[in-house]
Amino acid sequence: MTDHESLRFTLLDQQLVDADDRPVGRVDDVLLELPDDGGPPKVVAVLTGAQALGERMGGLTGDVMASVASRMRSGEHRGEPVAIPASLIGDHADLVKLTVALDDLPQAAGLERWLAHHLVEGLPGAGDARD
Amino acid sequence: MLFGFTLGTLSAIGGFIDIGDLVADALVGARFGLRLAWVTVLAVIGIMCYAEMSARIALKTRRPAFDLARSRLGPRYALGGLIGSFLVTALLVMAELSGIALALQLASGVHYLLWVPIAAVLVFIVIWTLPFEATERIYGLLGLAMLVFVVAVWHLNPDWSRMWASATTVAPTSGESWPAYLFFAITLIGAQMTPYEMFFFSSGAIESRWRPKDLTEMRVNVIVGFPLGGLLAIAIQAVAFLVFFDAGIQVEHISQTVLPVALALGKVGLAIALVGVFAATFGATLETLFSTGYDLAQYFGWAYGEVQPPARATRFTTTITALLLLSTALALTTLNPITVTIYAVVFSSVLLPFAFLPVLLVGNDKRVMGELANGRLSNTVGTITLLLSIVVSAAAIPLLILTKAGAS
Repeated sequence: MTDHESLRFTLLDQQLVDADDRPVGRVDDVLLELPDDGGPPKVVAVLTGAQALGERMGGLTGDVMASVASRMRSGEHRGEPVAIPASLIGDHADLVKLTVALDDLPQAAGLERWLAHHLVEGLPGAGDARD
Repeated sequence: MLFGFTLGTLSAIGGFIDIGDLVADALVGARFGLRLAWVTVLAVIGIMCYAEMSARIALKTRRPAFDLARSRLGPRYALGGLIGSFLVTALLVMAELSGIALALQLASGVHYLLWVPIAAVLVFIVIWTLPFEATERIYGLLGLAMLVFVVAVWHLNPDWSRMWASATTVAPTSGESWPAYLFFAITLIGAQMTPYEMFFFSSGAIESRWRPKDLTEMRVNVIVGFPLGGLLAIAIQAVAFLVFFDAGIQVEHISQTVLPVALALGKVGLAIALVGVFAATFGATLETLFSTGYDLAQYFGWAYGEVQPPARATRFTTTITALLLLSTALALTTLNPITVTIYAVVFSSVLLPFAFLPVLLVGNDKRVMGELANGRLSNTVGTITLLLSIVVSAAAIPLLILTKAGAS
């Protein structure tokens, strides 16, 4: 990421896609770090998912959204929003493109995978989620 | 070349002429003659402007209209728009589904409630198996059967000078009040200038993989499709005027929408009209379902769409399937579909300015749009439409209450 970019226009709320242009989610929040030497803040990671969005929006709606999203997740990382390290971000002109495939991001799009395995894939004519 | 036009035709037949129009146009024609035809002309111009603008944005940025609301105006604004349009469009899904069932009732004599689950299964099969372009072509072309309404106008041997006099009068007919006249003007706007047409058209442009070089094809779709929808809407108003107005008959059922065609053209005409009604409501069921799915998927950045097999967009597919089940259940409660339609289109008109604003802002942004940014025509018509939609939005609910949904 280059210095002096408008986060509001080039990163925040933009569509995230993986290396194969498959949608991953939105950039729902960004994680910034203030360097110890007092330089400008740096983007460490982008957060995606309804939990990150709910926590960013706050208020009643945001709290409900965040807690529902957090309860729907499983595994050791539940309770924390999905974070994708800034080092994985490639081109970000119209879309924010990651340099890895969605399958290498086990935390992202969990509901999509759960529905694929438990509901949709078993039905005839659904196609294969791994195509 | 013919097939290239069908996205516009589907948007026109299925989006412009949907259950809302079939009900509202016949109702308005019977009560006010052609004295509200000018509203349809304005609605056609307004929706053409915004459909063209949102599709042009989609060609340039590959982002559909609802997507932009969030990246431009932030997650809170877009969430408000999402919840509002989700509720209104979900109501419309129920009404459109009932419309399919009512068309089947008119053709078969079997009560529409028995047809509702069958219609839902048909819709599900089409969503699951048919690719986007095949769907749009079939319903676009079948919907052309609606042109039988235009033929029926001639066969009813109208007094053309009286029709013209009615169409050029902006005032309620005798015995009708100004609030009722204005309420039905808003109903027509809500039925004809629906945000879901714009969301569907721009998402369809993405699904059809249109690029800036397809600009001309897109514009031809807009210029052919929406005025065709407007023509059909005015034809429905005209036949209702010719058959019901002098007799003082109120339109309360969708069978009355097609009755004038049967009177003018006999059984064959009626059969063609029923094919048209079936195609229009079926197309609109798909459009409203997809639009709700698109809105939700685009807000959260999910995979969406008909170009993907269902397993590649499971959250999208699950959302629209769940909504279809919910609408079927709602339709089976025996809620009157005509009443639901009237409320849905009035609420839809309240949401209009919120849907138009982000599109106008992005369309006008030269940093994003480059040489495809709005010209003077788009900006002028777009701004006037936005201002009008703000007035409509503010007046809709008070008029709904004041006129008891048009009863007085």
